[in-house]
Amino acid sequence: MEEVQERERGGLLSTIGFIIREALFTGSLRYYMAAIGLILIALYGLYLWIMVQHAPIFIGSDIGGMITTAMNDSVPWGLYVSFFVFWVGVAAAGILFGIAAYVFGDKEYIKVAIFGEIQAVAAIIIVLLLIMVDIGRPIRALILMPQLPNLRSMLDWDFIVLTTYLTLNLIAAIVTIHYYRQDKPLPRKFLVPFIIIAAPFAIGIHTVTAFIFQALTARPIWNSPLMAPRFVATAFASGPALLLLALYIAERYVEEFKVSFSVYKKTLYVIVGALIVGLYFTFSEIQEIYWYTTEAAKKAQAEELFFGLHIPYLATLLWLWIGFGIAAVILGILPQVHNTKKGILTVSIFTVIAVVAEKTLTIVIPGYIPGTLGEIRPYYPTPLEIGITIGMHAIGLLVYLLLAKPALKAVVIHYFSGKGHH
Amino acid sequence: MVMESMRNLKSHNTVVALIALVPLLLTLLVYSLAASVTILARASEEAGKFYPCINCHRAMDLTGQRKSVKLHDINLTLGAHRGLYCSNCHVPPIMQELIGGSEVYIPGLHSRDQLMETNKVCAVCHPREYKDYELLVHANKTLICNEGESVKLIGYKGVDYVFHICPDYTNLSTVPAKACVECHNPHDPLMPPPNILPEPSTRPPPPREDSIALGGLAAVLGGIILIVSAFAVPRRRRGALEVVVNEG
Amino acid sequence: MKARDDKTGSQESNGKNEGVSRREFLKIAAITSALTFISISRDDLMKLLVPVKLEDLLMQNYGGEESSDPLEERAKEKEAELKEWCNNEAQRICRETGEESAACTEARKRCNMIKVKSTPANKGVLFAMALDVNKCIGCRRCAYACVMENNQARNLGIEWIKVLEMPRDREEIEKLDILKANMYYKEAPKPDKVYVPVACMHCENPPCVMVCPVRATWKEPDGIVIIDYDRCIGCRYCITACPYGARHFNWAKPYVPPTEINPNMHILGNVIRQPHVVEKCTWCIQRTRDGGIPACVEVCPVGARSFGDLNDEESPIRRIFEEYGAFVLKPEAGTRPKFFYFFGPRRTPPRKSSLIREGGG
Repeated sequence: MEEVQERERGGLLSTIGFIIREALFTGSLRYYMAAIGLILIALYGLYLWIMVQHAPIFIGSDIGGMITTAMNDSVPWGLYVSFFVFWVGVAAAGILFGIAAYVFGDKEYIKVAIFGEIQAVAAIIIVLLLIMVDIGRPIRALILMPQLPNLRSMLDWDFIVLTTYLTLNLIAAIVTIHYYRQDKPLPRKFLVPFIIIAAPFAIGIHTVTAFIFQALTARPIWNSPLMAPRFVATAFASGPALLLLALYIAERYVEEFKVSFSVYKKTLYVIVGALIVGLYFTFSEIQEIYWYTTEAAKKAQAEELFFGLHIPYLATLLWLWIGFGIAAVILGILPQVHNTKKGILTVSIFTVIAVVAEKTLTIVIPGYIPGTLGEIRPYYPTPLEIGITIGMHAIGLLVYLLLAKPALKAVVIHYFSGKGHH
Repeated sequence: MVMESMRNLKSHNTVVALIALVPLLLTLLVYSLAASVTILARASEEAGKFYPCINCHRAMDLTGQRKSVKLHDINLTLGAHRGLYCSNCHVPPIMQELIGGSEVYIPGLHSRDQLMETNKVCAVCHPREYKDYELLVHANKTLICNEGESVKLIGYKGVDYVFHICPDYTNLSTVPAKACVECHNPHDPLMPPPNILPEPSTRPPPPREDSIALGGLAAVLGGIILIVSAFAVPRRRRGALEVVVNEG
Repeated sequence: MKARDDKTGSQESNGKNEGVSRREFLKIAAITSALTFISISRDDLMKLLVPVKLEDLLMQNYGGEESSDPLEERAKEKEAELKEWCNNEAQRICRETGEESAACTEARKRCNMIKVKSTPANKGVLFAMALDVNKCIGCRRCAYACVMENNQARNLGIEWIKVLEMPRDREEIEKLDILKANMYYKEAPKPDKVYVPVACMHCENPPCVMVCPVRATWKEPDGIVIIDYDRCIGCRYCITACPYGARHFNWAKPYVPPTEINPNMHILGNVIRQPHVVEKCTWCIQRTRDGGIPACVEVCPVGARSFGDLNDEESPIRRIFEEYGAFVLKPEAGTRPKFFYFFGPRRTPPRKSSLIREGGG
């Protein structure tokens, strides 16, 4: 009788059953309230997308359409693509925990590596959703992208690496839950290929995302080979910072789950190091733009970015990045800060703010202002765009929540159920 | 433009008819009219309908060494052709023939084909431009189709446009739209620029989205209240709350 | 002797041995060469002997009436669809203004005249356009004719041609930069300004085509860069990649009043667009592929624009190259545009105080 139960419990299908059960049918009032709150926001975002922004496509209405956004022919990409860039970075950084755990064999990181994978899954879902709402004809895109791929187009490559990375991380998360919930360690025959494939893909998704921007001669400020390294550098600051915050919340609200302080501290090294590299790249770009260059278009766009001549928020965001970035680095160096959990969390929050400021509108919008014919059309996102963006984020967070619940349970079963595995 | 030319063609037919009739009448009336010719001629080219240029010019014995002709409102001391005399283009003494082997034809009065003849005189001094004109570089071009018509209508932003309506649009051909003299007054060839059209437009601004903003605010606030209270209710710590707000 | 015999014998035997092995070798070689003949020569032969499709032959014989060209099929479908839409619109107009009104009859007439073509590129043609910067007076007639000719959405303010005004005086030379160009000028022509109309340059090396993720835009053999509106997914990457701001997006459902429809349509050109697709100048593909000229060239009051076939010795473009020389905009973008600017013989209107200098020419 017990053996049969054991075998049933051992199948991958039953693991999926376990995940569904854990995610949907067990949980405290607290859990459901959070989930319903996210669903509420997500539904409103979807409603805005389907019934207003894409009304001519989905319901054939004569009114509505993307005219309800503030994007125009001069600024064809706006808020959606800005946050798309940010979340690709977050997704890429999820692998850091995996590398620490599975390559370097850090015992404490192994316990929490799965959350990096889940974060990557959630972030890529946000990324794909943001592309979906940004594209004018999403259904056509889904049909045509696989049929008529243009391998010179970076958008196709981005789509390929993103979906592959999503699949990889989803598999990794499910397999990890599968073994942990049976109180077994992860087998090497899974770990080695996973980390060998996933680690380059993690760098790859963000590199390809930067390549979307950097190879265009039409947009001089993007046309710098530093774009991809800078993307990856700040990604390795923001991703782990977000993950630390998430771990802290989990630690706080799940009874048995504990994260070792060494995880916080070692992650902080990465965050501070990545921030320093990111700031250094920004500094290097400033030199390139202002010292000698005679490229008028690049200079004009950089002036919009650094001084916010027509769009003040760009300059605000950029200086927010520099300010908060430097502050986070200095705080991270101070021993009073990096020896306490609270201090590390503060640095993480600073880092997230700094990188959100650096990676969103400050990347995308300066490429369009001034435009190719010198036209300056300031871009201020409309309430609809903001609403849809928040809605898509809510969906991503919901995925995060739904996957984190079974993962936490599995990790607790394997590591914290008092068998002395620790 | 084709319609215009058709109109020209019609008027040309009437002109031919008139030209056939008029000399009979006019030989009788010529002396009596001679006095009033000035007035008639001043009433612009319309006069030519009733009174061919040559009737007077034949008798006038002009030298061509003149700079201005008050009668025709010509003043060669001004404009881009101010270096010229009548005889540089017109063959004296009658002045009806032109250098280069054409005759004087008047826009609005003669047909397009006849006007094209007068291009020859321009070609004498402006061979480069004339070559350009022949090769469709200089000047207006138009397309023509068999049995087609041109329909002018007022459209986008109140600007008019001439549509070519053809039975089928497969055999079009491109030709010069106008003769030199239709754009350039030969005695003052500098073309006055036409009026300027309205400024360019871009996409209209997004509609007011107050309801969306309010709805969004309500949804997000409601959601956040639910989420935050989810974290806040069971545990009493304040620290967690801040963290959640920052992340959400 | 013996030794020699032996030698020869041995040679013979050697020869026999060789012969055997050679024979075998030849046998193998023959087999393998036959194999290679079969496997390789066909590929080589394919270069020489091009396979013939029956349909192509039939098309030539029967004038292509029953052609199964997918584009033509689509053109027919589109024509039916547009006629239906147009008649519905006309019905609405007639209801509003009465059956006898001019708008009603005009709309009905136009709806029935709609023709959607799918004329393919002519062999050996390479289109190019040129514009005389000395002549252009910045009146914007080209921009407006373009809207009417190409059935552009009247409700979305899409205008393919933008006319830039730039200073031409030596004192203001530092302002002679496309970044400082002004397209919203209210008076023209001014003697100290130069006017540079910009639209799609139909580049030889178009960045917009490279970035399209679904190959919805491409360069035709005759040099026209076109967009397939049924394929465009509206990601707007091409707008981002274009250095000339030539591409425009239908931000909502486009509307063209039936009374103003241009009935001469091309499936890849000026058919009425769908919402959320990108569009741009096609050099009036519906006119030029059938021997005409683009609307902007026709309407230009000063004849500043010329259009023709680069491969044709007698074309206006060749004349411009030989006589005046041609220039391109933004050469640093490396796109190799086929829209050329040139400096014609004289400027209309003349510069300041040039009346005296240029007199007598």
